[in-house]
Amino acid sequence: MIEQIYLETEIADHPDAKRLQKRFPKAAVIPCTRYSEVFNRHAQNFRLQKRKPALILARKHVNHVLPTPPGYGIGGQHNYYFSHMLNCLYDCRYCFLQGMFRSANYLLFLNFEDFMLSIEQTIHRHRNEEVYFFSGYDCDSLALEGLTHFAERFLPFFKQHPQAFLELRTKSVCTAPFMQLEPIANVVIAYSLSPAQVAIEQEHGAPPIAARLSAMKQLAKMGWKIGLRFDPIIYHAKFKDRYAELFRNVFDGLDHAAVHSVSFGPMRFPKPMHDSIVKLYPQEKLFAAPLQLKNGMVSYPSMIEAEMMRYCKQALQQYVTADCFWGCLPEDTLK
Amino acid sequence: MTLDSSWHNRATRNRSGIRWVVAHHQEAQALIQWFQMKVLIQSDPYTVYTDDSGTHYLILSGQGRLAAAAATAFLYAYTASDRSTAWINFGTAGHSHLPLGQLVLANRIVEQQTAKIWYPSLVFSTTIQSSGLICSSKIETTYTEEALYDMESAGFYNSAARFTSHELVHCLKIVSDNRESTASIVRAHGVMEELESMRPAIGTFVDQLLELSRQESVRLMPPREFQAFIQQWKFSVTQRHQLASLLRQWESMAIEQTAFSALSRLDLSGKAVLATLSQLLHQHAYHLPRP
Repeated sequence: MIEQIYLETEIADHPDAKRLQKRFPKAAVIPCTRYSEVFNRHAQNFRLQKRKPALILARKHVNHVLPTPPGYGIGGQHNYYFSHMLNCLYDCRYCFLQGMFRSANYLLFLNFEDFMLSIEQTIHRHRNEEVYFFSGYDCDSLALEGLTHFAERFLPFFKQHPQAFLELRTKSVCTAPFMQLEPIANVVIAYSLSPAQVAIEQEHGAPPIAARLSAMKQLAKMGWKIGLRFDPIIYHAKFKDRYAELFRNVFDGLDHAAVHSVSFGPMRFPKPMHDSIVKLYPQEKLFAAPLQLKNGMVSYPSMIEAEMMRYCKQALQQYVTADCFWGCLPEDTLK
Repeated sequence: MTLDSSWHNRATRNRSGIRWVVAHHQEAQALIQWFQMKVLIQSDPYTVYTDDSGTHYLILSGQGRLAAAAATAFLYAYTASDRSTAWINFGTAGHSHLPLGQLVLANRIVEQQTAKIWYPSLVFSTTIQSSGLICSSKIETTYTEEALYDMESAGFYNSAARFTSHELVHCLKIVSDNRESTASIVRAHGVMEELESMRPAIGTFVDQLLELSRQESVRLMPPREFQAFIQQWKFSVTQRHQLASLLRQWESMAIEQTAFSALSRLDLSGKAVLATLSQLLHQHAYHLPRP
């Protein structure tokens, strides 16, 4: 339940700003000139804010669409990401957002039309070529669909642009926006999945794995393309057994033809993010794992990382061919 | 200055808790009574109250934002507060139309003179109504905006937010004047005398804020064995940070043997202690906790 809404005065008359204020009639509406006054200020405590995030309604002025980091992709040459929202409903302990943003408040950009315009311009720049657009980098694409109507608006938009692929990355069990539509060939619904025990321990507030798998299989049956994202892979003494069990459960009853892509990668953080997160959760066992600093990234030691990657690749090849494995892992460990 | 040293010891011991900044004694009376506070310092330079447990400290700042800022800084230093300490500015305020006696939590503070704005961050549910708060340098009589008006909040907030995070700094105000009943000392006193009815709402608010403060205190606490290590071996400042990190890992791993007992018999330099501790940690299989 949202109890505080920060509202940029510039966007106060936007229909979605009005809709959301109606949706939370008891919420205090607090005017601000720019979202950054609230979201980016110093001396915020992400951990405390995560207890009850406020909703910030804002306009995004620039950089609606950005190139993905090098090596990030699911088979396309041209990869971009866009974030209609910053921060997530869930509270996954390994999530880099908690080390990236000062605020845990949900920042929702209401000017979807500007995102769409930028996406169209990007598509035009790559005329006649496939272009991939990733959503869910700075938030869960679907977890707050009930508020944002993000998928509801962007699915018909991408249907009009068949050369542009949309990946919706999620841990949610939200299926409503897909149920009313015929499957769209250039949309991939990518589920972030972890072994049940890891999910219970580390993915606070996220739906149980069984519920995610059920939603995923339902959409796969309808003909929607599914992405499988085993990222991050969390190392622990029984990781082989637990990931083997997860893969069994994922592919049990899943039409393999529905699987568009599989990606997996070990837990890792840029050092400044790691340091911020450890400060927030100094007693967290996840960070007591044997982590090392390599090339500015904090990650498991190379031997452990390579072992995890080799094992997961081998285990996954029982179910899908290696040509649909992509990204999220150091190049040398894929081979 | 009247200073009881045993009280002061308690002050420095308990850093979590709430520090109240209140302009006048009349506005503080109910709080002093509810939280069973006694005088800790009398008038020189400030009057400060506290309770037996050292959970609550209250300072009488005097009127105006500079006075509030100075008193907040004094209380921070005097009680050896840290980033886990919560702060509340409590007192009367005007409002354009809210009824006299209404309890209101500030959700946006504007310093009228400079147009500087602060946003207190509320991270728990409360039944207390919230509103913007304008901090002016003179008593407001026109109430042009739909907001609270006071004279201390900006000074208080600007000061307190330097000492902790926005989630732990709040301004609670009682409406003492509005367009129908303009400000007067007699009216403000009358409003404060009727505070008893707001005790449950204030009490619940305070309990939730205290809980946040306690959680932050635990987060910021050094690991259990930290003191024993720094007494036994010499560490540089950087090494102390590394030590704290390794000891936290040791605690998180729930290793049966204490880290100190694993190393205490060894005649090592600080650097060697850290290396040995690190090696010992990596020898333990990394299990996730049971769900």
